[in-house]
Amino acid sequence: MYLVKLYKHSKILFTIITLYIAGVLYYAAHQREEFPFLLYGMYSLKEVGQPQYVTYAIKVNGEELDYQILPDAKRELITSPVYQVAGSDSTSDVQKIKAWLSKYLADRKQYKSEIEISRVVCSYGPNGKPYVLSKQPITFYGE
Amino acid sequence: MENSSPFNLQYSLKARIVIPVAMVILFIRFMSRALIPQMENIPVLFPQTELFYAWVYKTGIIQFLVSDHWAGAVFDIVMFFSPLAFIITLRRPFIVLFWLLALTYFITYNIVTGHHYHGLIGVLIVTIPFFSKDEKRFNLLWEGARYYMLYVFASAALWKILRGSVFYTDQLSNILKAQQLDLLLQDSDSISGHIASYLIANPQVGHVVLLINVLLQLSFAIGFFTKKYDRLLLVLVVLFTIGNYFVMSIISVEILILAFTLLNWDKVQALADKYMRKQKVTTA
Repeated sequence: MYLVKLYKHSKILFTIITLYIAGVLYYAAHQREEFPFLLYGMYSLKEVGQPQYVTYAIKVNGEELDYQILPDAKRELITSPVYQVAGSDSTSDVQKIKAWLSKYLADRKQYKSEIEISRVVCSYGPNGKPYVLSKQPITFYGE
Repeated sequence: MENSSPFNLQYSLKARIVIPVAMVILFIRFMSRALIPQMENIPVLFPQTELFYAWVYKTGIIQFLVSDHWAGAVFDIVMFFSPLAFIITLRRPFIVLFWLLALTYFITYNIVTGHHYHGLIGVLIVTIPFFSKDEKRFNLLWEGARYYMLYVFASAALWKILRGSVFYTDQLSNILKAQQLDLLLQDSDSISGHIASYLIANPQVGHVVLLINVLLQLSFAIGFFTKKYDRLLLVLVVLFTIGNYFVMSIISVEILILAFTLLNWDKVQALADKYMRKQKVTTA
């Protein structure tokens, strides 16, 4: 058995691995993830259907950003903070993210680009395709 | 390497196959403009709830790395050159340095995006065995990395079973409604778009797909008891990656690096030897 072999070879290594396994089991029992004790549920939480789904569209210099053509890591880097701050009430965070996107998504020839973030509310039809119920730009007083 | 014992040859072979793949994974991130100096001073907004992340956040290292372009650039250069130096010299300090930098990058990316992705864990886990050149210790750590790979998949199946979501007919259909919304709004005519809308409109079919997926993930549990089916598990990992890409639009390549632990390295070594002999004959 692996742990026995480990114990015979090195007590320190055995202790580290055993503590790691214990940590994973502890957090699994509490259904909470703490790095480095990762749980790998992979979409295991029960997903209840919603009447409406919300996403955010980003316009760069008046043109909508196509998330599908972005490489994975870049798409996550853009969408993850945007979805989180746009869904929150923090005006200053949204403004910080917009200012960052303005630089990050700027054309190489430009220093900054014009950014508009819109809240898109959708619902699904029986054909499994979404249709847009509303699309509202997120704006603030003074913008 | 000091000598050409069978272990040293295999250590070197593993290092020269696995570590370049880790470098490719990071190079893809470089091409995606997702490395630290490429982040263009992204604001670090999200307070961390996980203890380790909260601790790193408090040290200010992440804020410094993303705000100081030159520090980020030096960080990246060392992150690319340390594994290269390890591949050439097989000196362990280089791989330990690479591991520490890859870990820092992993934490940085997760903190700035505010989402704790698991992807790069594959690179971090598969690198650990190379910290040791002691045959027994290396093999035990390599075996440990293999168990981690099995754990990733078996755990995913067990959570779905224990939480009962595997028995919920609309589960996959509902996941796809949220997961693939952007895809369906922007590119519904793609293969993934067609698959997603079909599975959303037909939850029963989606449920069958989910059940197959859970069975596939659960089959990795057998690897805890025997290595006899490692070749089959390797095929299953590849199938999972392809399926995950088309159904969920998730690219699992970063975790796929762990699949190297399922390979029969004696056979890989024999193939490498055969190739080397052939090369020698051709040159002679």
